[in-house]
Amino acid sequence: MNAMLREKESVAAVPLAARGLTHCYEGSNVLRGVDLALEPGSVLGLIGRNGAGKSTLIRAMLGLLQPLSGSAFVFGEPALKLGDDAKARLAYVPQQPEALAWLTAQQMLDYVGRFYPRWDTEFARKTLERWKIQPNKLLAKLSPGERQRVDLIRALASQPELLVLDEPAAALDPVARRELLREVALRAGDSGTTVLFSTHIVSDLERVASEIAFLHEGHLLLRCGVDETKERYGRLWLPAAKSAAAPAQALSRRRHDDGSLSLVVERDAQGRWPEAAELPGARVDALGLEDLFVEIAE
Amino acid sequence: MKIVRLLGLPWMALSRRWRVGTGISFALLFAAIPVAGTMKWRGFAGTPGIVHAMATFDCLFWALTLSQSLLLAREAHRLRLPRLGRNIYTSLILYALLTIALPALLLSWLGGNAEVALTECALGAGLGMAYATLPAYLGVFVCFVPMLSDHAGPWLPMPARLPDGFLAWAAPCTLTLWLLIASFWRSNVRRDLGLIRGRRPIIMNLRMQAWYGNTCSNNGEVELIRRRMRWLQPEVDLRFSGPGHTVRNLRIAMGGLGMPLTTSSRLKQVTIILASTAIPLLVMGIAWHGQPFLSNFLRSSELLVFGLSLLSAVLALAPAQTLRHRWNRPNAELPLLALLPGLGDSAEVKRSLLQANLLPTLSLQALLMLAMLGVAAAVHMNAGIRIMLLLGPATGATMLTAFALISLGGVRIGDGRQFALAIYGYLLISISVLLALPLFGSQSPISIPGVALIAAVAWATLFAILLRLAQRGWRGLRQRPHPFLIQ
Repeated sequence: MNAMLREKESVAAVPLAARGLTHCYEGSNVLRGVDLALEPGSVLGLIGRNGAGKSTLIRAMLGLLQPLSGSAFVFGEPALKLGDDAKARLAYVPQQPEALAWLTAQQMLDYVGRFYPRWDTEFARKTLERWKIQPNKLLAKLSPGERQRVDLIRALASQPELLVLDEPAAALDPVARRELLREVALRAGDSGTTVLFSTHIVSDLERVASEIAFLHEGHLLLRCGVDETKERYGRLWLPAAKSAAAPAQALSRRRHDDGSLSLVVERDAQGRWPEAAELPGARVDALGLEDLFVEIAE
Repeated sequence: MKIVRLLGLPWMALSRRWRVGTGISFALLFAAIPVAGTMKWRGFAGTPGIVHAMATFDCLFWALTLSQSLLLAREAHRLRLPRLGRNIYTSLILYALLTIALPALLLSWLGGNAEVALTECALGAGLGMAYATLPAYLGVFVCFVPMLSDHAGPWLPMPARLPDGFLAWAAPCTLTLWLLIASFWRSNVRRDLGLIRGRRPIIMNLRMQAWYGNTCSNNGEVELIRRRMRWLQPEVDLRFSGPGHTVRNLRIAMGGLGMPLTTSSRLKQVTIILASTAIPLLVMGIAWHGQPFLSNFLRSSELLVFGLSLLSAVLALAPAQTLRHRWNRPNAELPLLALLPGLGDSAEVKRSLLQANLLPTLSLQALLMLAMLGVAAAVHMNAGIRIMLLLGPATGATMLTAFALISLGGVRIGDGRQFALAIYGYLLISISVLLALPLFGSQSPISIPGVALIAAVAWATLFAILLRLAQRGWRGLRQRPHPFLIQ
């Protein structure tokens, strides 16, 4: 009973939390017991290859799909049974939004805006103008990039406390992408909005994310601060003769043609690399975020 | 290129399932013609029925199969494959020899009129091709041609009675038709797809709606809106939407037939529907020129009530498909509605969803049913026929409810199965109602005990399947924490 209360209190404190989420499509596991929680005001970048399960994780965390097991909470409420209060504090932009194609951009914003108590009509109008989107054009007739921007306006105009973006920059040109990232950073910095966004564009993460979570084949492989990654993770190279001494714990492991071994390793609690790094011929290279992503994902 | 490969070329534009189905159907149809000919061997030379059957076969074959070559020719042009383009034309010429010239030659050898056979087969094939490859606003007129052959006899000689008179008008008309087809073919091959729906050939519209193979295309609807002319676009009425108006909110969010429209837009849509309805009446008026229109119309009352009965059932398919598309798109309305505050609690939303999606179509079906019963009463149809006619709306309402519930309840049923069930239902309605109407003498065939028993079993099977699906859907919907779950 006490444990349940403690869990309830702990999830109530965070805007978004997932516990042991598991899901599969047509027999193949997409999520394998994922735990994830977002601290208030944080900007978490969820990174992973195509098909890694990012969208599924986001949908399960928001209660848009029913996972096979595990639970998700939004502002402490079970994601599958969200109340109006929690919904009003949350905004989500799916990857390649397609909703309400028969409405014009203005009609869609008017329609959706009626439901949000803190809807910022002026922001919606000005941003449509700034992003050069014709308000009277049907959503079906907008390009994918324009449509994504209209949906971003829809999400931002509701002044959410939690903003969830699934690959928000996928259809945007570099200028629009930069503007979006600036807007996200502003929201997080000024209003303390908590942001979760998925991407496979590493430079976007470096620009705005305070933390990253790396999802690979349904597992959350690592979770840390963006600035921390360079310090905390490295590539350990062991010559063929020493490869037997490779540490058992590694985020990735690749054997080269000459028998040498490359591993992505993590410092321990005392900030030390694994013992194998001290072996003669062994070498630890610093890894940038992109290198780290590639090393693990390959 | 080998002849076999040339003959196989038009079939390459079809999905495997469609290819097999069409191939078998046409093989059976084609086989039926000589069988019929053999049965009537003695009177064969004087019987234009075989030529007529061959022309009808050509019409269907060219419309459904050979017209697909247009899609291939477009692809060949876009991919800069001139050789493939030439092969497509050769293949069509080969098919023209096989399906038009060869039958005409055989019929003349058997004593028939070669010129008439050639013209009639070429006209049949041309009409099929015109239906599929001319712009839709022209192609649709081909549907009225059977009426012309039935009713325009007094001023348009038909081959059965006046072969020479028939040749005098049909030969130049056929030639003009083929020239028209060639001209549009050329421009369709070269033009970009950026055409509005009415100007696109039906074959391309069908392909866009992905009727071939995948009936659940996500982009079809968006593509249709994109291609539609602005003035044809229904304009939504956003008044009385927002928290507290759940049904109306959902009708807006679901789009389609049930979407609330502004008064001017509603009037415009009604005008378009009335104008479309007026076209067949106009054609009937022309065909019955000089004859009393009303009495002719009432004489066709059997077909009218049959049409209304079938239409009220067919109406179920479009909203059911729309709903299916909505619940298959993870990035569209589902997440938006799932996270929209102020829609109401889960139970209320489920109730409202059913209302928003079922009521508009059910109301329309009820109106059609009243119209149908009104006509049936006006021409004094007996109670038995009226009950059979009611099977149309009843099937339509059950089908709509069942299909809506399986979408909302997350029941997985393949597109093919759903489509097959709908076709089974429509065939059953057609056969039962036609057998019930006094079209075949004084006694309706449906009243024969054996026929009635088979019909009863077939109907019971259909309703059992539909009710079982509805039950599964209802259970699924009730068990869902909220109705907008992504599959």
